[in-house]
Amino acid sequence: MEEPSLTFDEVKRMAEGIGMTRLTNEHLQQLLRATRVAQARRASLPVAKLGPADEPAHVFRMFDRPLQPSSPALLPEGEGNRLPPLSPRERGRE
Amino acid sequence: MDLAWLTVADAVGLLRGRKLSPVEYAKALIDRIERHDGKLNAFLRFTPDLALEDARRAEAEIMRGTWRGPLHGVPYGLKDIVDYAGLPTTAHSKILRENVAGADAAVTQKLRAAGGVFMGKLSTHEFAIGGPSFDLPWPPARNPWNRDHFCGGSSSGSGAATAAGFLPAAIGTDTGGSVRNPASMCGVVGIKPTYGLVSRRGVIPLAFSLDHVGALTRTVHDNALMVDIIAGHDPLDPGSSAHAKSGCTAELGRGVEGLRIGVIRHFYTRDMEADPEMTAGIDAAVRKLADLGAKVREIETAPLGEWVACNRTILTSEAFAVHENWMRERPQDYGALARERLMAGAFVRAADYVNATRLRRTMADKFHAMFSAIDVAVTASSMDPACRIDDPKAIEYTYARQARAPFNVTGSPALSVPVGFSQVGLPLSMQIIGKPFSEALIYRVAHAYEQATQWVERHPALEQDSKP
Repeated sequence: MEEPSLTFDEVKRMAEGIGMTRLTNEHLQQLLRATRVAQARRASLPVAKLGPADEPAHVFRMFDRPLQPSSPALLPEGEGNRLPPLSPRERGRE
Repeated sequence: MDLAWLTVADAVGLLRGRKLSPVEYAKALIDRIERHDGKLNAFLRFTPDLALEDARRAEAEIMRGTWRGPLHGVPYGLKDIVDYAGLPTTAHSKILRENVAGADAAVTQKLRAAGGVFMGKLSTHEFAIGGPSFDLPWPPARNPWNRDHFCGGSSSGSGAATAAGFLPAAIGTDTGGSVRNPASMCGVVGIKPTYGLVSRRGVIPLAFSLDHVGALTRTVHDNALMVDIIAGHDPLDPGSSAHAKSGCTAELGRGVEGLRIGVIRHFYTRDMEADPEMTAGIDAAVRKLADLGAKVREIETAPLGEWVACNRTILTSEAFAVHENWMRERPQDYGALARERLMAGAFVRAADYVNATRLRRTMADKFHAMFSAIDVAVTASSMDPACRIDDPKAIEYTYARQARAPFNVTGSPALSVPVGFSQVGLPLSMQIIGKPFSEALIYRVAHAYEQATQWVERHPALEQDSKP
C-alpha cells in the first residue's frame, strides 16, 4: 500500500510528539527526507513472504548461559551458583 | 628496507630475532606520519609519546627473552570509537569531544597484552555513520591513492593509515560495511569477522545486532594474524559467541584446488550495475581463482535491495535508540550527515523493526544453507572506485552502492581484498564470504589469490604528492 507523502508540518508534529522540540527548520527538512527514505525502505521489505510462525532473529531465552558474576542478587549467600528455591506455590505446580 | 611497508608477518622475524628494534620501527612510522598525515588526516589523535613508551617496553621485554607473539613491538591504531583507557573516545563528534575512556575496550586489552605499540586514534565517520563530513571538530580522512578522493568509511582513518604505510594494522568496526568499505577504497585487506567472534565491549555502538569489530591490514596473512589476536569469547559482551576461537592462519598456503566458489554476480550486474572497471576487476579475480583450481559457479540469493532494506531498517532503529537523547537535547551538535542518517530511525514502527528481524532470520538461514554446496562465496564489495571527497552528490550516490550489508544481516565472515586498480589508479576490490566461523577458509582463498597477483606490492607514492 503506497503511503501518502509526508509533509513538513506532519513531520514537525511527529518530532514534537517524541520530544524532539529543538530541531531547526533545516533539521526538520533532514528529518523529512530521512523519514521518506525509511518509508521507501519499509515498502521494499518483502514482508509478504513471512508466515505467522516466522520468529525474529533475536529470540529471548532463559538460562541459556551460566549466570553472570554481575548478578549476585540471584545467588543466595553460600549457595554458589544454584538457582533460588521454588516457592510453595511454584512447588505445587510441579 | 622501507619500514613503512613492513608487514606484521615480516616484522615478527626481525623483531624476535633482534634485527629490528621496536623503537626504531616506531620512530620510522612516527616520522612518516609527521611528514604526511597533515594531508591525509588518518589520525584524529596521534600519540607518538605513548607509542615510544610501548616500543621501549617491547624492546626491553624482547631483549630479556620475553616474546608475546606476532604483534610484539608492532605498531597499530584504533578507530576512534574504540576505547583506550585515559584517552578520549570522541566518535569524531563534538558530542563526545571530552569523553575520556575509563577502561580499555576488550580488543584494546588484547592488543596491549600482545605487546602492540599503540600509535593513536584514527579518524572515523561521526558515530560510525556520518561522513565524510567537513563540519566536525576534526577533518575527514582522505584517500592516500589520490587525496582529492574519498577513502571510504566509516573506518576511514584505519583504511587510510594502513594504505599510506603509517601502520601495518588497524582496528575498525563494521555495521553496514564500514571495515570493508575503506578497505575497498584504499586497496587494503579488511575483514568483518563472524558476529560474536570479536568482543564489542568498549566500542561505542551504532547498531547492537549488526556491529562487528574487524581489522584492516595490507596483506591477508597480517589480517589473519590480527583476528587471531583479537578474537575470543567475552562473557561481558552479550553478543559474544561461546564458540569464538582463533586459528585463522591454519589454512594459509593450502591453495584453492578443488574448493567450490559461488559467485553472487547478480548483486553487481543485475540488482545494481557496478562500474564496468569494478566488474571487470572482480570477473578477472574469479577467473584467476578458477585458474588456480577452484570450481566456480554463479549462485543466487535474495535481491540486494531486500538485504539492504533489512539491514538499514534494523540499523537505523537500533542506532536511533542509542542517539535519541542527544537528538532531543542537542541536535545542532551533530554534523549534518550523521544527523540525517540517524534520523531515519526516528519513526520506524516497532512492527517494521520486528518484521525486519523476522526477515533477517529467514534470509540468513537460506543463505547459510547455501554453504552445503559451496565453500565460499564471492561478490562485489563496492560498486565503484572511490569518488571525489568534495562532491556530496557523488558521495551520496556511491554510499548506497555496495554489497556489504547482506553479510552484516547474516553475521557471516566477509573479507574485502584488492583486485587491481582503475585506469586512474584507484583501487578495485572483491569480497569473499564464508559460513560462520570459517575465517580460516576465507583467508586461505584470499591468500591464494593475493600470492598469484601481487597487488599488495603496489603502494601510494605520498612522497611525490607536492600539492598543499
